[in-house]
Formats: sequence, C-alpha cells, structure tokens
Amino acid sequence: MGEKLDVWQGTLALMVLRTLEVLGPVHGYGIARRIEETSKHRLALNYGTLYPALIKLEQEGFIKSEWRASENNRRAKYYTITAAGRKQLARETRDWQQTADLMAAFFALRPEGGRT
Amino acid sequence: MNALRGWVARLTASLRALTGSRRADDEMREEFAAHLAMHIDENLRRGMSPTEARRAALLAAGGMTAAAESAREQRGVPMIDSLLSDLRYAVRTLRAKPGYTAAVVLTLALGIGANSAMFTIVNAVLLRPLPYADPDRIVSISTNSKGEDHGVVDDVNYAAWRDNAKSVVLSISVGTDGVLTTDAGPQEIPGVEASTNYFSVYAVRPLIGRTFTAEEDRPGAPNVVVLHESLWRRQYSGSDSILGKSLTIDGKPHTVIGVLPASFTTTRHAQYWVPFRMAEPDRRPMTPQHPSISTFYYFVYGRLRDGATIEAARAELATISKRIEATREAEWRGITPVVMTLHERRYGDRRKPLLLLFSAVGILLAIACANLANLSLARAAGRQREMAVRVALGAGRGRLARALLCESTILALGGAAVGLIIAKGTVRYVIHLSPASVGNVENVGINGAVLAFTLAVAMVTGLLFGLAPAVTAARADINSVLSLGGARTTGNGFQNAIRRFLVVAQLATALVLITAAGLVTRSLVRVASIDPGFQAEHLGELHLSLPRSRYTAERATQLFDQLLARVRSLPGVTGAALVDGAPLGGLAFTLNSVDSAGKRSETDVVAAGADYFSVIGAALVRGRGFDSTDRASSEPVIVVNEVLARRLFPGGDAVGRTIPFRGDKARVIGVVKNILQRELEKVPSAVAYIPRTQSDESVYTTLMIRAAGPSGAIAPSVAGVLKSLDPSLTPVSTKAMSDVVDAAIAPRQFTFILVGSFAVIAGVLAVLGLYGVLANFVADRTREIGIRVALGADPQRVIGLVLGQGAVLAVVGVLLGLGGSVVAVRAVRSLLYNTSVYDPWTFATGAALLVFVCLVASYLPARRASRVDPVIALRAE
Repeated sequence: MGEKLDVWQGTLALMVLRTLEVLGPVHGYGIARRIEETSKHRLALNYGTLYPALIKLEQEGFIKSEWRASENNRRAKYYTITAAGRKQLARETRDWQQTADLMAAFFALRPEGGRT
Repeated sequence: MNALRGWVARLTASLRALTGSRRADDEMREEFAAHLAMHIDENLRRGMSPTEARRAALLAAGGMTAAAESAREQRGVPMIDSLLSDLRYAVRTLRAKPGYTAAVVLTLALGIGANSAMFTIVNAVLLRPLPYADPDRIVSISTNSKGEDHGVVDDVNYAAWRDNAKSVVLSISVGTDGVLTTDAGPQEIPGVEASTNYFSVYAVRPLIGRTFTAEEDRPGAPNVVVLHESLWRRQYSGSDSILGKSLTIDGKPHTVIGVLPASFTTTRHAQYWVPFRMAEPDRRPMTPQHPSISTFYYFVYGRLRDGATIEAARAELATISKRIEATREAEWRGITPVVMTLHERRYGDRRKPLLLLFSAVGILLAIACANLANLSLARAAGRQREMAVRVALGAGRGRLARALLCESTILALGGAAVGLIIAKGTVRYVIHLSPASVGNVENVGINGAVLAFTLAVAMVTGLLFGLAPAVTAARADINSVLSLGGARTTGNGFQNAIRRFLVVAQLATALVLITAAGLVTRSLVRVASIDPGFQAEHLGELHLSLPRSRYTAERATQLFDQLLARVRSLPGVTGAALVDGAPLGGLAFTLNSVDSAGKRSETDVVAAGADYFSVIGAALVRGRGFDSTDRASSEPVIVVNEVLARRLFPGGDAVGRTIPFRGDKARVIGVVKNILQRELEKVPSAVAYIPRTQSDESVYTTLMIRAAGPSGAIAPSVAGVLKSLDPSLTPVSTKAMSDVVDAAIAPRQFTFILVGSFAVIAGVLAVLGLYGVLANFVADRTREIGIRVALGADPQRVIGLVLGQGAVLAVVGVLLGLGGSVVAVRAVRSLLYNTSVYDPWTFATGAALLVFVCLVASYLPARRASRVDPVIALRAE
C-alpha cells in the first residue's frame, strides 16, 4: 500500500456530490468505494471521514437520504443529490476550474533572462 | 446567502437532533453495520476467508466509536448532551481534590466578592437614576468665582436668572425642621421651604389638591402647606377632608392645599412643603466704611426646558450675569454660573473614588485569575497523562479543552456563590466605615443587577483562568506523554512560558496597586497629623436649636446663659463655653470686604462666649481671649486668627489696633492659632472671633464642654440640666469632638482600608504565584539537581540557581510594575493630600518590599532544592 493522501473536508464534499450526480441514488458504502476507485486507491475513506461529511451535506440540503433495500436485500441508507446540490456542485466545479487554471498558469512560469 | 442558508439548516438540524438524538444514534449504528456488512460481502466475493474479510473491512472502517462521536458532533448533539457529561465529569474530578477545589473557590470568592461589593455600591450611587421624572433634566445651579464653586447663588443673580432665563425653570428649596402641633402634642418633622416653581422642577403632581400658586411665595401671602402622603396617612388617616384644614406649624396656622404622593421622596424625607419667602436684598452701597452688605444665598435647582441643553443653560445664565454685572459692586465681578445635573451635584464627588476602587477590585480579580490559571496549569502538567489517555480513547482536542473550561466555570460559579456572601458583608462593612463616602446608603443592596453582574463576572472569570490550561492541553503531544510511562513530566515549554508570563504580569499589576496604596497611606498619615487648632480629647459639643414658636432670641439667650452656668457646676465638667460656629462645624457668617485698593477678601466670623479659647484648648499667640467683661455695652473687641492677623497687619503686631468691623470700630485684643472651622483638609481661612454678647442673638448656639474624662460620660447629666430648664426640649446628645475629627478623616480611612487591603491581597496572590512556579521548577528538576549534587555541586550554587530564577521574575515584574505605576497613579491624584503622585519614597518602598517578599518566597523552594538527596532523586525515576 502506498502513501495515502489526507482528504480535505471541502474537496470531499465535492467528490461526494459529483459521485451522486453520476451514480444516482447510492449508499454510503457505494460512495466510499467509488471515491476510492476513482482516486486509484490513493484515497482511503474511513467512517469517521465519510459520515460526518454526509451529515453536513444533508443538513445543508445538498443531498437527501432514505432507507431502502440494497441489491442483495440489506437495508441501507441511500443518498441522492438535490437540485440545490447540483447548483452547488456547478458552482464549486467552476471555482475549482478557475483555481486550477490559475495555479497552472503559475506552474507554467519559466525562469526569465538575466541569470541562468 | 448560501452561508446563511447552510447555517440555518444546521441550526434547525441541531435542534431536531436534540429531540431525536437517540434515534439518530441508532440509525447511525445501523448504517455503519450495513456499510460493514457490504464491505465484508465484497471481500468474501473476492475470495477472502471470513475472518480475513471481516478484519480487512474493520481496518478500513477506522475507529467506529470515534466516527460515531464525530458524526454526533456534526449533528450538533454534543452541545447539550456531551456538555452534561463534561459537567458530571468536572464535578467528580473536583470532588476528588477537595483541597484544590477549596483553595480555588475561596480565591475566586474573594475576587468576585470584592467586585460584586463594589458594583453594588457603584450601581446604587452612580448608575441608578434619581427617583424623579426625567431626572437627567433636573439641574443644580450655583455660582463660581476664581475657580471655586460656592454651591449657592446670591439673591441678585437668582432674581435675574429666574426672570430672564428661557432655557431653564429655576426654584429655590431649603431643608427645614418644623414643629407640628397636633392633638398628641408638638412633634418635630422634616420639611422643605420651596419656591413656587419647585413642583414643576421635580415634575411632581399632587395626589389630591394642588401645589403652590405663583403668588404664594410673596411676602404677606397666606400661609399654605403641602403634605407628604406618609404624614397625611399617619396623622390624618388619609382623608380627603384634610384639604382646607388649618395646621399649626412653628406656632403659625397653615392651610393644607395638597398632598404629594409617597413615591416622591427627598434626601431628607421631607414630610411637608411650605412656600419659601425670599427676603428683599439689602442694596446699600458698599464702601470701606461699610464693608459689608447682607446678601442672601440660596440653593437653586432647575429643570431644563424642552430642547435646552446644560451647555445652553450655562451660556444663557452667564450672559444674564454679565449684563447685570455692570450695575453691581466690584466684588461681584467675574462670577460665572455652574450648571450640573442634580445627580452630579449629589454624587459627583464620589464618582472618581468609587470608580478607582472599582478598577482596583477589577485588577485584583485579574491577578486572582492569573494565579488560578497558574495553579491549574501546574495541575494540568500533572494531568497530562490523563489527558493523553483521553485523546487516545477518541476524545477530540476541542472536547478536552471544553471539559477543562467546564471545570473552571463550575469553580467560578462556586466562587461567585460564596463571593455574594462576602459581598454582602463587605458592603455592610464599607458603609459602616464611612457612610458619607458611599452616599445614597439606603439604596445600596444586593439586587437583580448585582446578581446579573456577579454571574457575568463568574462566567468571564471561569473562561479566563480556564483558557490557559485548556489551550495548552489541546497542544499536548500524546505520544511523548504516554511513552514516558507514568514518570513525572515537566509540563511542556509552552506551559512554562505562560506560567512565567503570568507571574510577571501579576507582580507588575500588584505593584501598581501597592504604589497606589502607599500614596493613599501617606496622605492619610499627613491628614491624621494635621493640627486642628484645638484639643479634641475630652471635649464635647452640644448643638442647641430652640423652637422659634416658643423662644424669642432674648429668651433663648437667657436659657443659654442659665444652661451654661448649671453645666459649668456639674461634677466632671472642667469648663464650658458657648459658640456660634464650632470648630469643624461652620461659622456664624462670612463677611465680604473690599479694601481701599479694591482688593476683595473674605473673613469668616465666629461668635464665641467667655472662656471659649481655653475651654476648647486653643492656643492664644498674643493678647487675651473673651471673658465676662466683654458685654454688649462695652467696647467692641475682636480676636483674630493668624491668617487674618497676617492679612490685616503684615509684619506688625495686631493686638491693641482697631479695625473697621460691620460699620463700627473693633479693638483687636488677641491673636489665636488657626482653628480649623470648615474642613480638616482646607487651608485655614481668615477668621475673626467676636464676643457672643456683641453679636446678634439667635435661637441657635453650640455648647462646648471640657470634661475631666471622656465627654460621653457627662452627656446624661447635661441632658438632665437641659430637661430641668425646659421639659419640652427634645433630649439631645453631646458629640465628642474626637469623633468629629475622626469623621473628618473617615473618607480617607475608607480609601486607605479598601485600597490597602486590595493591595495586600494582590501582593500575596502575586507572591504565591511566584512561589508556585518556583516550587514547580524545583520539583521538575529534582533529577537534574540530584545529578548536580552527586557530581559535587555546592548547595550554595543550587540555592543560587533557584533564587536566580525567582529574582529574574521578580525584577522584571517590578520594573514593569514601576512603569505601570508611573502611568496609573495619575488616576489617584484627586485622592491625595499634600503628596506628590510621583513620591519617590513610596515608589521605592513598594518596589523594595515586593522584591524582598519575592526573594523570601523564592528562598523556600531554593532551600528544598539544596537539600535534595541525590540517591533518592535518582532512584525516584
């Protein structure tokens, strides 16, 4: 197992929203697996990281939840993204894009003449 | 917008979580179980053995309890739920350490109690509005010349202001005691003589009937009286038929025209109001041959008219005074009006001392807080292991800090509860010390405002002294603590730095208080050694005021002479004399005079009987005092005090010379050493003593009695003599002049005792703080010191090491404190008497004393360090 990265709360919320937008209703376990796979297992989500984030998103009204039977007949809590959540996701995506572009511009800087 | 939405959502969720907290917990547990089960299922599908599948899933889950806890925290439950458990835990911890708990609660009780006590007084005296409608609009008006506020207004200015001012309605009122004759006999009751505007100034409406009309204060108008509700109910059973009835007050019939409600109270609890009749001013031109005119002075109160400010009123009155100045004599030039709120007049002079004392107790509490922070830091160092274990078991660091804050808050609340008891006792003691310094005594008491203040102080205090340990606990590194395995640890460097900082701050602030106390003490010593000009011991005074209804001035004089003769022959009495204007009590009157060069001067006049100077023990510098040969018909004579002698005859001998006096010539027969007439701390004024026989007769006088023993012992026999002369005279008590002198010093003693005890407590707390830090320093380094000793270190050097630590802290603290004192003492300037605020002696003594006590406190741990047995020290680890 390589070095695992710490997950920032802010980025985790974004990842959860995006996962829900792509997958539709899915339970906590599914979200965790999907995020870990997407990150090519560079991220690991334990309960203490994931569930507080889910509770926070639900309190903010970006996701909602209901108990349902799972694929193999277990009762599980399924999370769905709400309209407010989609809006929030769009906003955050835009912000991220801008930040990323900005940073990319800085990384693209080359040493200027004078001293080499 | 979005943030607000999120916040509202979280708040409602939190509230919902409160009610459904248990269900949410169950749900969370079920969700975790489902998550785990699905993970195991998948692991099994991948071909793991059941044990392995379970183990891997659990590993990925992380700490399940910690996750549930943080989920709960996210839901917002812990605010209440975990707070309760924190509180329970705090109470249990504190109960386990009764010594620590008691020490902290007591320290806090002292600090908070002192603050509550001072607030009780400040609230009653400075913050509570006066019990009148729109009290801020009521003003007290007086005149000022050469920077001195006279407290009264002369008749000419008053008349001009009353008739011309647009910004303020003026009234005169003066307290009086009248004899009300009822069926049950005569009784003396307090009353007020008031001009007709009085009732509109105080905005009071009668309960029944009416108040004075504008004509009723003119000379010759019929006598009317307005009663207070309490007198009306007590004496006349509250019947409306009182209106129009005639009452006998001071032997004259007065018609009752109205009753004021009980809610209207005056400082002297007046029971009746009669019109104040202004006398016509005497307008004789004043010349050096006629150096006096009779001017009447009044206490003037007013109400600002709507829209007018105090400044506007002051400016308008000044303009009016200026306009009439041209028509007046030279001595009336340069008089300006003083306008202040009634509250300011009544309590203004107490504002500064009270606020100073209030800030002193604030500083005291801050020092106590620092001490407790230090104490709990030392304790926190010992509890690092407990904290580390709690962190390891999943307690968040925030939660840990909160648990510690819970502890300190509980302690602070306990301290506040005990503090309120202390406050109650302190307030009573402080009032007993000097009622005059407090003022408004009857309204001083613990009330809702005081309770709210105490609670707020307790909460802030708890937060303040709990903060340092809470912050440092949250920074502790659990690995290093746990791996040290139970050995005593030295507390982290951050904690030690904070503790040193706190000690230095404590010492510095304590020194500021000590310096202030030193200055106050020096002033008290100087005031106590003022020579009042008479021998107060075994000297008594008896103020006599005969009812004018039965005594004319002549009859009063006869009675006074009889009384004097009988008292002189009483056993235990060695001398007695009459005087109008007893020492430290007042004067007969004041003469204004202008010399030929136009220089204005004031002379206080006292009318004294035969033997007066020898009875009170005053020293005649030259000549003689009054005796029985000084009669109304003999040559007018005068005794001057040293100030007057120097003014009248600079460099020459006054005795035998004649001076113009009240339109006549009086011969100076003696010069007496200055006797303080007005106030102990005022520079002696020029006083002329004239024989009582050559002065105006009146129904008032004072009998001075010199006794062989304490003057209180002869009081009953003196009262008996008075009773035998006129049985209807109310029994009177003699006052010991030593008590009069003491009362004059009382306000200083009051400040001295309060500031002094605050300074002592502050100093003790600060030194205890230093001791604590050093004791801890030695305990932490027992091992190191043991090694040093084992390697042959000299005990002197070990002592030097610890003493050096203490000395550095003490010196830094004292230097900062000296700097602080230089800035802060300016605030106590008004409390000082003949003492410079930068009195070097006081500064040096305070600083030296504190450093000395600090070194003593450092020596104890130092000696303990030097006795460390290396064998025991090294084995202990």
